[in-house]
Amino acid sequence: MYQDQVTDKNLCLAVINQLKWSATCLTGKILECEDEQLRQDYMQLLNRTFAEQKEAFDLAHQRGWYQPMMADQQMIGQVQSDTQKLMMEQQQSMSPMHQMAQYQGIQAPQGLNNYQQSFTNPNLQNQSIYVGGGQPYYSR
Amino acid sequence: MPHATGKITARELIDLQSHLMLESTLVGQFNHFARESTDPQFGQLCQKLAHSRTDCLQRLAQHTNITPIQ
Repeated sequence: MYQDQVTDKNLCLAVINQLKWSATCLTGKILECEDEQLRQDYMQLLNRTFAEQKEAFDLAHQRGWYQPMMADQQMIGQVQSDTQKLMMEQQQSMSPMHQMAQYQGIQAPQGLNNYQQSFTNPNLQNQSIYVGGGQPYYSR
Repeated sequence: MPHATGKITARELIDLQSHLMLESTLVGQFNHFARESTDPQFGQLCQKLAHSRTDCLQRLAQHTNITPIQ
């Protein structure tokens, strides 16, 4: 009903939002900046903006003007479960690659052997090639 | 610090201009908020922010001191 009223709370929330927006704009400019001095100035300005936004937030928080919604137990449980699933999926997707890398490390494919042999001295007979840990090792 | 080499990309120049405008708006708004506020601590914070953003504005404005490339 009185949302549009000019109150300290509304002004403080506006300050916080303005500083958030300023930080967002500065980040984009830093990422696009080529000139080192300008980039440094933007970065100093960004750090100052972070500090000022925190100061405004702390004041709002003290006054009870800004109270972020806390996550409930159900939300936390859901995120924990999703994260666990994600980690397992990642481990599973990494596993065959790991195994393949180890296998290739022990037994180099035939094509690779031929390729490596082409670099060896053709006069050296009975030369064997052992590929271990990705590093070729030549022995007579 | 101004661009000693006189080189600035078009993107940098556009970004610089837009940020100078943003900082200028912030200075005006924070001064206005300082006058409108009833909470003394918040009013002081707004004044401090207005000064700080003025300082930023002046610092960035130095980068517009660009010598055209010959």
